[in-house]
Amino acid sequence: MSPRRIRSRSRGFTAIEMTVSVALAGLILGNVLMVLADTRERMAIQDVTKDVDAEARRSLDRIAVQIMGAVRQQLYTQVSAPLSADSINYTSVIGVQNGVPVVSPLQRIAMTTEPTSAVSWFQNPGGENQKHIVWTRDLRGYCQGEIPNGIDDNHNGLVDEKGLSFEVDGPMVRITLTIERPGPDGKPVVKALETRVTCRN
Amino acid sequence: MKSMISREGTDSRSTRRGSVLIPALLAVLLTSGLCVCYLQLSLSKSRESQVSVDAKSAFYVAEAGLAEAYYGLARGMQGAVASESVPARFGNGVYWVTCEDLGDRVTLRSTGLTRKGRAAVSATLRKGTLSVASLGMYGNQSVDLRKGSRVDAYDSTVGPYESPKVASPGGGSALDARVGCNGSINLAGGSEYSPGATIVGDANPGPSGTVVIGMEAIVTGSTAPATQTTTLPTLHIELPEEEPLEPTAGTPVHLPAGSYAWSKMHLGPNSLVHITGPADVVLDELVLDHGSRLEIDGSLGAVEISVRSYVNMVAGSVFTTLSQGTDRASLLTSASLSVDRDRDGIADPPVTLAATGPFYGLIYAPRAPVVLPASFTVYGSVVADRITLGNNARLHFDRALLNSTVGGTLPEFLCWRVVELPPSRLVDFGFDPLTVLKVNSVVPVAPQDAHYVKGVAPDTSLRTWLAPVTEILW
Repeated sequence: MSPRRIRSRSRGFTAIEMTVSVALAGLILGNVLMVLADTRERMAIQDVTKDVDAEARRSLDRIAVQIMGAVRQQLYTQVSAPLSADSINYTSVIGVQNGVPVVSPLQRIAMTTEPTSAVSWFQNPGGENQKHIVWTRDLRGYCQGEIPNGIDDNHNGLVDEKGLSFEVDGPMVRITLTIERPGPDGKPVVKALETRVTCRN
Repeated sequence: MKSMISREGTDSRSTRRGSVLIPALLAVLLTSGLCVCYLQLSLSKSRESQVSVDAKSAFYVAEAGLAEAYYGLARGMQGAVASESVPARFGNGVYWVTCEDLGDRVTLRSTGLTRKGRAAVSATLRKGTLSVASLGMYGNQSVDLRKGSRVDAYDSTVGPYESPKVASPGGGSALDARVGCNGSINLAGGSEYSPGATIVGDANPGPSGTVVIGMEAIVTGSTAPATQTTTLPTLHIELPEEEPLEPTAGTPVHLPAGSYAWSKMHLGPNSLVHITGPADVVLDELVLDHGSRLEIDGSLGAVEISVRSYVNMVAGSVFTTLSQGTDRASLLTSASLSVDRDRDGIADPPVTLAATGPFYGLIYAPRAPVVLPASFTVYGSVVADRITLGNNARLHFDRALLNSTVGGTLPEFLCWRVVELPPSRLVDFGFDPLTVLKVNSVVPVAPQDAHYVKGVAPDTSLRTWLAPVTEILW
């Protein structure tokens, strides 16, 4: 066996070797890419779910704190259960002067639909000096599990309740909120939350 | 030549092996980069949700502060709890409550901090009235302690009474008695052989009153005058037209739980009346002759005896309680007039308590003078128009009565609101308050130890926090 033959045999790969190695590499790379893509999609969905969850909780907390500080006697909705109200009117204590509570002008938390469904806060609603702040968007038209058919579809005691609904029961108020946002796969990500708060004033 | 071939072959193999490192390194870098990206994304999301959780926690901590302040107010404290300099610890957070006195109202402002969460809530309340039992030994006009008499304190929630060691004047005690008066307090002096009067605790006269301490008499606590007078609640005892109760001698009368009313309860010699709680007994006159015995068993419920015109328990009679709960027995009387009832030409005082005890509970006679003899030891509290503690008499104030709401009213919530955070370095720092406090060598206090008594100015100074926190944290 001459040295030249030895060197030539040690250089390069055969066609079969190359084919097998390329096929294996392609298989592995394909799998990795598939896993990455799947993970990325899952992460994206998870992100949207988390965002929707955080937004729903933040919004509900904000509404709850407002209702907690409301004056019980001046808290009302337009309709009562089983009909649901998508807005609530109230006044709250904004300070104390000489030991006497000072009450705010009329305020309203309501579901508004222009340009998109949103939770809006109003001060002096309908008045000349009305203030309007949008607290959160992506509000769902109707509560999760509810469709507009005159029936209590989700069996929570309310008929056709909206994405934001209030039920006043003495000093207690039940608040339900449903946030919806389209996910990366096109399917909507929905978060529905409910809480009960008691007016402190 | 052979060795040369071998070297060439070796060089070729090593070249091929090294080239694998580059794609491997790239793959590792790519994977690491992706991992870091995902990790950061995940961390930022987690941080965002943590901020939301912290904000909520801080809100609840602030609410806990308000609740503690309310509890303090109900106990007769100022309402302020802890301070920004030394806040109170609650779970993983801290809080402090400031109060603004508005006469019959008070505004509380509680600031709660946990990790990065901050919240402040405020409440305005109408002040409640305390149970008279929490006043301890209190005389509307005067309090006199004669030779050898002693007032001290214990806490029935901790254990039965044990005689406290008398500390030197001004030394104070963890179980201070409360002696108060709208007028002056007099402690009779003693001599080398007989001790003077002793108060193990505070003796606070009225705003214009003084504490007169005789030779060998001792007050271990504060003798500072009160900032305002205390109005004793008036008793209105309604009595329907009823027959008198005059048990025959040798035949005990047992009154089970219930409500009773008689024009007069007159216990002659060798007669016994035993009252089992819960019971209310309303009388116009209560008379215990020598050798009679009136027993109160409050083990199943409180017994309240209300007497409208006259209480006379002569020496040799027994008026005692069978249970040791100081909130289970009370003798309330609106008697005020000295009338010659036995027609001996001498006016009889409206209240005479010369019986033998011991008595666990409250004695309340807002319009009559009361003299407590050595035979009638009281565990609980005595409130009267004028009080005289006779020679060698004892009164052991039960500090558990400081929390008593019996006969008092609780503070009433007028309004509640979320308020802006106060100006404070501790609030402004974005760090965990417990870490900031630890770095500054401040140990948060327990909420129950952070109340301020009335008349003591709370620490409202804002602390200039040292700020090496950043260096330690980052």
